[in-house]
Amino acid sequence: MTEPTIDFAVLDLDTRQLSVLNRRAMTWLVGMLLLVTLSIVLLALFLRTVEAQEEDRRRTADAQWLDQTVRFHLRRLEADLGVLALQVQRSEEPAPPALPGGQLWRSAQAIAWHGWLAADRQPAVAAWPLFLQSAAQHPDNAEALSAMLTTTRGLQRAAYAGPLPQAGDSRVQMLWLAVPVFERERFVGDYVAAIRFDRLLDSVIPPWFFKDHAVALDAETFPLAAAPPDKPSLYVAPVNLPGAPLRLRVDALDSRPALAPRIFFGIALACLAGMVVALYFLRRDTARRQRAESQLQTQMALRTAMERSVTLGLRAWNPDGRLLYANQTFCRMVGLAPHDILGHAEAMSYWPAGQGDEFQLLLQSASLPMAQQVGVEMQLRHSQGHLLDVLAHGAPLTLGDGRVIGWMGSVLDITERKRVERLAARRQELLEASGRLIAVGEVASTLAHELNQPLGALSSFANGLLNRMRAGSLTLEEVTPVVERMERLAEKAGRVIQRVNAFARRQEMSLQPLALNEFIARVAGQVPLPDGLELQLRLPEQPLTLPADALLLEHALHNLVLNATEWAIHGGRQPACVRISLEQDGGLAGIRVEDSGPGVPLAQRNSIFDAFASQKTGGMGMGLSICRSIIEAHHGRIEVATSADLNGAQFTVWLPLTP
Amino acid sequence: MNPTVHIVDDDADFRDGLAWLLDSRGLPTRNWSGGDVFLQSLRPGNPMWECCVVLLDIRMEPLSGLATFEQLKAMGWPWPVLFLTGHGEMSMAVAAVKNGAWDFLEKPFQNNLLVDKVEAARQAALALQADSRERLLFQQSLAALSAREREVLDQLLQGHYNKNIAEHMGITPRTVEFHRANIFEKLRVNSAVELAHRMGRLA
Repeated sequence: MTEPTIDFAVLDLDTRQLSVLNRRAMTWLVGMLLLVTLSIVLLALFLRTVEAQEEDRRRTADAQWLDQTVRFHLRRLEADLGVLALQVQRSEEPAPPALPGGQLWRSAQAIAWHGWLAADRQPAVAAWPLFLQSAAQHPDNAEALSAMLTTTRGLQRAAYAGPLPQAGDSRVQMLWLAVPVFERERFVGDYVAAIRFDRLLDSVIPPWFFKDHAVALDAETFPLAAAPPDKPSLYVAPVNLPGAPLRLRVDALDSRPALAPRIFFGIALACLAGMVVALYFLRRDTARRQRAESQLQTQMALRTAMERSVTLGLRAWNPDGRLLYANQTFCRMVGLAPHDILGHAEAMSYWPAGQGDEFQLLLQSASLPMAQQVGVEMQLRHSQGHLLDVLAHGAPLTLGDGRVIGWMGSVLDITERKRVERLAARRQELLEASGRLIAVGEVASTLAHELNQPLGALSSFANGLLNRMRAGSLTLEEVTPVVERMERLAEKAGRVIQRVNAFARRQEMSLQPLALNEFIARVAGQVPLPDGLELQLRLPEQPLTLPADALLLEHALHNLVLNATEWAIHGGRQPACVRISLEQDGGLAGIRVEDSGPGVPLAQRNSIFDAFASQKTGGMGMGLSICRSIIEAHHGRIEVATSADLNGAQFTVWLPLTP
Repeated sequence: MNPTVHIVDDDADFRDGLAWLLDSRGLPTRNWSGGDVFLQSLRPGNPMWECCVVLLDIRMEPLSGLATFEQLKAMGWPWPVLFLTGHGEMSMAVAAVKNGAWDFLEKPFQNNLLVDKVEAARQAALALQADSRERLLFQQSLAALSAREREVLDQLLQGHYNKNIAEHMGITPRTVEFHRANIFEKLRVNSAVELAHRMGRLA
């Protein structure tokens, strides 16, 4: 069996609200994307600036480093040249002095030439050594060299010139250095050295610097620190030497920017992208959740509405018999609030005593096979006291895997139905009773007619005979046939009586042992009780059994109890009460029916058992008469008295315990 | 003249007993076993159609007492009819009496009371018979009046005096006197008052 399902999507009317939610979410999403884009742009700009600054800083550092390195080595060279000059003066001989240990000396041919230039040979080029002359042959050089020499003499310090192109090979740039030597404040001469500038750079600048940079003398005159736009890696590093402001052109061979910031930037980008994706999924998930939630709400609304609309009382128990749930209908039925009912395992106030345990009853009914589940009829008590007749069903609460997690019980109020049934039964009873009465009337009428005929004829014959006898006009021959006829008529009447008797006694009594306690309880349970009537049963501990025709005796007792319930409510006692008690007195069992009604007046105590004597409106006056007949047929008797404490009528049926 | 008592009852014992009783008081009886049998014997002109009394049992088969009575009434039966009723038939008997029956007798009855009632009915039947004979005679006398006498009689019955009658008819008061004497003699009355009385009762 498949469960019927409801298509809740059809019922989902919440789409408009959903689209509003969607629009709002979209706005947020677009804002978020803009924010992300902006951050990316800002990040990129920042990165570029940082990179540019870093580049700039590196260039400055490189330039300063170059400047210092070159100057350091040239100072050393100045010192070396000073030493050489002194050696030259002392020895006064042209033998080559021992070369000092400076870096420049060690590298191959960095110093193209060095030599002493005495003070007297200084101004005239012709007096200069050969190498110096050849250098001065270049048009611009003579003046520069001359200025250098002049400077050394005048300012008493080393001076540089150049770089000057080498005569004959203008590609080779020469840096000239002159170190003056003074002896007792008198200028004695200069020690001059020619340094090949390219070799100088090669020997001075370590290889690791050349790995990344190409360094050359800058011949052009573009402004310092402003790299030409077509080659951003190119810059100029100045080296300030006295008399020869050098400019070195540095070309960073590998000007790749630093990797780490870019990686960080990339990671940040990836994170942002991931965030966007996550946002998208979050958005999708939210939409789905909203849809599910609205469907759930619709379902809940529908189920709540269904639950409220049913006229069936519903309850759920956990497996231990604790109430988990009771619907509104049930609460209304018993007039209690849900919190009065829920969570309790013990018997409830709505559960009238004497019906057994409610939960066990439910389990029993639910354990029956499906086909036999017709429900259990039971009673509930409303909080205001009146009783309800209900039809209860039970069913297990089963999970998908067949596990029982509790029990469900439904309760249908059948009070009205039962009342109508009782009413119909009562009507039927009355109808049958009146039918019986009509039949009895019919029988009585027939009987009267049948007896009238022979009795009338008999009377006529007798009177006729009497008249004739008085008149004396009678012969014996006339008398005989008439008297014979009278005798036949009397016999005929007798036969009618016999026939009626036979008819009335057609139903023979069958005496069977009858347990009175159960019998009385059963009969009392069958009598319809008016509202507000209290029925008391006082039965002895030990069972009483006597031979009786259960059907007839039940009829008699039912009649007595019914009478009592009908009279009880006309008395003054509140609530009206009917009491049935059983007692034993010697060999007799006494069934006593008392009520709180007005009682039987003394004058009527003998006549109430007569046929057709009824005190009730609409009564037939047959009940008590039949009761007495039945009881007498059991060799018992019936007594009427006034109840000692209920003040109403008291009927006691005495029946012998042995036949 | 001794009117017969017709007993109509389907119960032979009852019928015979009643007959025996009435006979003991000297009333002539005749028994019928049912209403249909009785009715068949009552064709007009039949000697049965003479002064009598009928006792009808209400409960009879196949024709009930009431049905028999209806048919008798339809025939214009003049004589008294008494009903015999059993238990539960009182209301029918009362209705029958209101419908023209003479009386009813309830079973079981006190026998002599019954006989007295039947006797009373017989006397009534006799009176009825005498009455009807007187009426027959009077009507014969009326028929014997001449046309002129009839006119005078009409005027007389309207309460006019002789003189007025004479004026109306255009005859002399003396002639009116003459006619009047003739009318009184033929109708065997002695006064105008008696004449009016007999005309009202018998004509």
